[in-house]
Amino acid sequence: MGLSVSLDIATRALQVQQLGVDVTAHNIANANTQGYSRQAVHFTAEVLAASGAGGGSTLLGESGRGVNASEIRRFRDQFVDFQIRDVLQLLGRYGAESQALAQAEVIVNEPTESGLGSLLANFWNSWRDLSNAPESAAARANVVAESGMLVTAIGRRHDQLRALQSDLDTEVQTIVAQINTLGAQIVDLNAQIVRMSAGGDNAGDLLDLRDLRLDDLSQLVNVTVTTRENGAISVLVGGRELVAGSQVYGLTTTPEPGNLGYHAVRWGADNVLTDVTSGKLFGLLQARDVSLVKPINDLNTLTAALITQVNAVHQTGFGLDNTTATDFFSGTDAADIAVNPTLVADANKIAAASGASLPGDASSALAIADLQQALTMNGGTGTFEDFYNSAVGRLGVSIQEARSLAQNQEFLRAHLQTLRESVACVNLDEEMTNLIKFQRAFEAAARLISVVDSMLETLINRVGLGGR
Amino acid sequence: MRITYRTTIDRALADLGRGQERVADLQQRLATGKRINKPSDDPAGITRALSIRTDLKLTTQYMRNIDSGIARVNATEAGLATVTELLQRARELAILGGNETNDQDQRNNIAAEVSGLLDEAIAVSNSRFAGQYIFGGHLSTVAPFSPVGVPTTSVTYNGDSGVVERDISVGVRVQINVAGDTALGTTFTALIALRDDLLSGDTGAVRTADLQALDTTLDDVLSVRGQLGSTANRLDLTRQRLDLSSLASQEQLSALEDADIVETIVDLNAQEAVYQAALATVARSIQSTLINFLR
Repeated sequence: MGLSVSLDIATRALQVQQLGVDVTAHNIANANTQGYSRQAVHFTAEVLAASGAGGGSTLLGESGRGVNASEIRRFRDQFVDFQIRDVLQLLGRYGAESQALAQAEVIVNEPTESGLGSLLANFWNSWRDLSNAPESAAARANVVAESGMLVTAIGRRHDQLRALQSDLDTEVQTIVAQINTLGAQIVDLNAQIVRMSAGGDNAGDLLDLRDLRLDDLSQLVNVTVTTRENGAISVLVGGRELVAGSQVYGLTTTPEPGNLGYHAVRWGADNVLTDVTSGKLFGLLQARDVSLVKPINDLNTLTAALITQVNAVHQTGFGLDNTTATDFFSGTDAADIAVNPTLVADANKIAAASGASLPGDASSALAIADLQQALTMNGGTGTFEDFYNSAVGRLGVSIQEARSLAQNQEFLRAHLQTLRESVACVNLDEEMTNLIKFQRAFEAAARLISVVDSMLETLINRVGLGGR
Repeated sequence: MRITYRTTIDRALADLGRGQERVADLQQRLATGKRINKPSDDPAGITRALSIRTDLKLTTQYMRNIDSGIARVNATEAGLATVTELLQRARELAILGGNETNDQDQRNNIAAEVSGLLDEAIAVSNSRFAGQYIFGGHLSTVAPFSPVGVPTTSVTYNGDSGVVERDISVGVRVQINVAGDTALGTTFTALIALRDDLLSGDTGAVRTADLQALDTTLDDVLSVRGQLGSTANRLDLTRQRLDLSSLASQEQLSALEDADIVETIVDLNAQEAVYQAALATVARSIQSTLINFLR
């Protein structure tokens, strides 16, 4: 083994240590990059290929041949990645649901003086005021005003809940578009990763990017990921391939006439319904089709019963001008309830009396006020108020539930994130230490070159001069 | 566990966010003075709070009903009190006019005064309260009594026997009117008979039948006034009871909905202290890396 080999070892050492510095620099530069996994050069001692001639030409056989960089490794815990994706799906789901319900809570606006509970009580009381002075134009005007406020509030609440539903529907379409975009990005990344890995290059940064996209995708929809041998991945939504290696199969949304024209999520290729079971998409669908439908139905049930019951009594009564058999409310449910316009135009037609030409009789007004205590709801077991109050309570419970589920997932996510970061994240202290380590090794290798150089000089200039 | 810069920052941000959320929550409680600001703050509590609120509104309404009832009963009472005075004066005049020592001129003068009493009795019977004729039953928009003939020979009742009620608590209704023809019809007949007998000089009838009729009517009116008095008492008692129960409901509602201010302020101070401590810790832990110690 000659000195040229020593020079060779020193040169490679220089190169390898410099690579170490480069990778450290890359790590430091990306200390704050989202989804970045730290990298490290894997050093291996270069050994001689076994020639079978060991010990033949030297004193102790051959020494090693220095250092080599075998690969640039990416630090990543795949198992935590799997777990975190599961948690992200649930977090997306409950997060979306609790957010939607929190908006519904604002719409419901209880407990306040402008909430339906108060307005309903004011409505009944306006009939009692009328019963105290059935001849009075002011008391009649008051009934019209209070019922007007009640029906406006019911209508507005209904419209706001419906508007919230259609906002959610728009968001469903946006999310589906995002899922398709992410699918396409993953396909692109797949192709690049396969190409780079085949060429023996470091694909670490691309893998990070792809993992980041998978995280994003997991928040949106239930996905499962399988890795192929060539480094590409397949992504399945509800057991069907969204991404299969280099191919993406997009989702689409179609309006469903059976569901108020809200959009269903289907596979673009054959219009089959997508099996969405988790993620933000599921949360939105769930909120739109279940969580919000409940309060809307409750509101409709309450309003329909109110219309029927009040009208039934009002029909039997007589107005100051002896009008009878009039409805007090028009409409059938929360969407179209209104005070009968005839009564608004002429409050004397409001039927407070039980017979014709009895201006001082208020039996009919009292009978309407009595409906407040009548067991008209829940199959004859509860009053209007009972029904309404427990509906508000139920909404509160479902919000609490969704919120605490989302919070639990958030805690889990934070925990798993810490675990993931403990493996993958850049620690500047470490990097600084490594930097010094590589610097020192680089300096030593450089010194090695100068030593070998002086050894060569000795050989060339001093040897063979004896006897000159 | 291996701790990195990012871990520290992420955790710090999450902790600070939660701290801020708690502080904001307590601040809202203080600002509104309410423990329940939305249904999810306490779903079980809000169901009860809503029903207490409704009860309170209903109780307030019942008290309003009672107030309006008491006012009308009092107005009715006042009218009948005047009628009583008129009848008592008529009784004095009957005794005076029944005396044989009067000549017809004097009897005519007494008859004129009785005629005045009759006019006044009709006016009182047609009195209104808050726009309603109080003695007309359900026919409250027309004057219930109209005199027939000049001078008045009879008085027609235009009202009916309709019952006017007030809702004073759940399922309880109280009649607050008296139908005019029962209480007042005989008053007019008695006064007309007295006047006519005085004019015709039938002192015997004035002394016996007319005086008798006046006494019977007076008894009737007094007994109606007695009924009105007991109605007013009943309304008053119910109102006192409602006052108490409304107070109790308000206390219940306050206990359910209102934030305990002292407790909330103490909590808020504690949370703010924790938050500030967290801020200080984060500021310190973010500063120090190895770089600070290398040349």
